[in-house]
Amino acid sequence: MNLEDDILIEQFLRNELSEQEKESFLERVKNDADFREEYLLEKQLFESLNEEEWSFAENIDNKETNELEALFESKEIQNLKEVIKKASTKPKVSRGKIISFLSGFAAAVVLGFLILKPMFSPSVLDTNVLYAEYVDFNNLPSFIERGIDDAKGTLIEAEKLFKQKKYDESAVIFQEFLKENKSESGAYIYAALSHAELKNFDKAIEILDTLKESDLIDAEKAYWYKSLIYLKEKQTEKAEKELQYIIDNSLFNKIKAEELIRKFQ
Amino acid sequence: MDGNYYLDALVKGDSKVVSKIYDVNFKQVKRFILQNKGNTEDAEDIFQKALLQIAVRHKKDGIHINTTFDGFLFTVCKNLWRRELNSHKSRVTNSEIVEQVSEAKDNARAIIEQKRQELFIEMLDKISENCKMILSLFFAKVSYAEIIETTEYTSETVVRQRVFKCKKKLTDLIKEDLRFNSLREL
Repeated sequence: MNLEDDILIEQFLRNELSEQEKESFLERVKNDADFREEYLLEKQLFESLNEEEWSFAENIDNKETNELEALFESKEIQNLKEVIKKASTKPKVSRGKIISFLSGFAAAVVLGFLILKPMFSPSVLDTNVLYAEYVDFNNLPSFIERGIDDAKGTLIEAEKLFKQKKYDESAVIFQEFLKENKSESGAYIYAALSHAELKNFDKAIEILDTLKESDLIDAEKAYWYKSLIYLKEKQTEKAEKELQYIIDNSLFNKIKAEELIRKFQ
Repeated sequence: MDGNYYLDALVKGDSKVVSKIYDVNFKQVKRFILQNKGNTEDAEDIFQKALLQIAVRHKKDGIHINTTFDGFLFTVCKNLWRRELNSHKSRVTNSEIVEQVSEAKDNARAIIEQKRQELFIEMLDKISENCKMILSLFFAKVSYAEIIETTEYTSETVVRQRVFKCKKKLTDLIKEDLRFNSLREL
């Protein structure tokens, strides 16, 4: 293939040709076998190696697909499908299982303990998992992405400490920052989450209440993070109340709040 | 997780091993899907499809995993989710009637696509580091102007020629590989 054809294929794949050029391109794909082969391979490469896309198998030799299809329909694989389904719905830690490992007196003590304080109950276990999933540390607003200026230098440092899980240090810096700068909503959120990680739940809620009472655009985010911190603290009733408020008033993350509330109710 | 031990146990339908695979890996996959426009149900569906896909492949041809089982499983899940998101996209943008295929056929196609991607990445690893870098940018649809900014190349013409040469090396390697015969579009 020559460079001109290569550029032409690339322009087609990047959608840079006019309607008329596209038409003649497709005509050539239909009639010129070599050109078609080059085009198809490049299309597959573009789609496979680009994270945003996917290269679908549209017209391939049927032999292998037929063999695979037969395997998927085989009894053995159908049975495996059931095994996999069961594993997905199986409670991860059941009380029965814990007790079966213990005997006599030990089991009685554990059982008594469970009745008094159900620390192994699924709802309690789930709240921490739910917190971890929904708090989504990777997608918190970043000060780094917004570029560096003098006022933000401290925030960038504190964010780095937060990401390194040095929550005691990040909590202090964010709080110090907030004493002088009351309009940086992200700092309230990071300060609160740092305290939540250190299990200083009251402090975390207090910081979010300050954000909630502020006149910042992001003030409503306080409800979302409060609900998550209550979840982490296993205060499901309080978490539910915050989530319901988000839903009723269409606040930040309403859809996620609806999804979340269904999970722990 | 040791790759081959888990592959064999999975094909045998060993429920203890399947549960362990769930315990170790599901949370990470779920997190990825929730962060990328999906919900818990999607995550369950993708995870189950991925395990089934891996089992079928291993049963048919035997898979050899170079990394860990966990890493391999995560890549398969990620790709199946990419596939799912793109299938919605094409359904929305294409006015043509979407061909209805059986679940088994669709799963079979997903394997071909996964194998194709693995082959491309394997071949990309065989060419020079410089070619690999420039082609990775090119296939990610980074513009020539941006490629010039991030590399030592000074003009679009030079970059184009470099891309052309590197692509030739890559496509030659792919075409020479026997596996490509059953994976290529006709």
